[in-house]
Amino acid sequence: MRADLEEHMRGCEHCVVTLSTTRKTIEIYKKHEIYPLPDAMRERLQKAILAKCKKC
Amino acid sequence: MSTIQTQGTEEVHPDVALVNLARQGDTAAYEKLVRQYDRQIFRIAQHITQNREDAEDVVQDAFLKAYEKLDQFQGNSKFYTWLVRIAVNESLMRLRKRRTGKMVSIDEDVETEEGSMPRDLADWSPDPEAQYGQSEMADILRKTIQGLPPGFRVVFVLRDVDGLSTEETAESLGLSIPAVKSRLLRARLQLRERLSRYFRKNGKDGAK
Repeated sequence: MRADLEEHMRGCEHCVVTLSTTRKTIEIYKKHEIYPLPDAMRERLQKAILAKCKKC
Repeated sequence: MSTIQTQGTEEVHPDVALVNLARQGDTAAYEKLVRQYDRQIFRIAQHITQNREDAEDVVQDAFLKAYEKLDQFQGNSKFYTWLVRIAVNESLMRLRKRRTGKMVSIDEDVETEEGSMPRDLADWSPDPEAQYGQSEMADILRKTIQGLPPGFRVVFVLRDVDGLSTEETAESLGLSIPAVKSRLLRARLQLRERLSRYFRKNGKDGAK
């Protein structure tokens, strides 16, 4: 099945473009941090979580 | 409180020991789990909610709920997979609060035909991101993923952005493996289709 797919990819520009642009889509989203989590915020969140847990 | 029992021969995930200690009241053990996964949970939450404040709330609430429910964690899946499920539910609840009177579920709008077949066949520029400044890019990516139905968005975020396996994604969302695969394909194609407006080789002018 993989051999058939590779054979098809050799001759079909549309599928090659679709595959490469889909890969790029995933790469872009994977590396893009919408809102980074700064260390200070991270510490604050961790303290808040643990303070609440200790009250459980 | 009972500890998670494992067979002698199987590989034990390092989290199991920490979870067992935390179940016995050792908050320092739970702190290690929090430090290990807070960044990933924050990333997942922000991708689903598209809102920084909501994402912060999700991180807090997800870890707190997980701590309160530790005795319900059976060890049949990884702790992280179980935690992700809690975080996804919290994220969807936040989305619901922002949409007045409308429930948000992972099954919402997944019957759409959009993106089921690739239509835009133009190739992209070699470095599509170079055409835009950082804040423009952030805006484009945010608007594009916001347009995905929640059911597709969640699968894409867990599988492609966070790197969970298909099985872990299915487990986290309570979906079958074929459902995950189908939604993932649709999500990828829809995102690709929308981004093509901005990244195709004839440049920004074609973008709307």
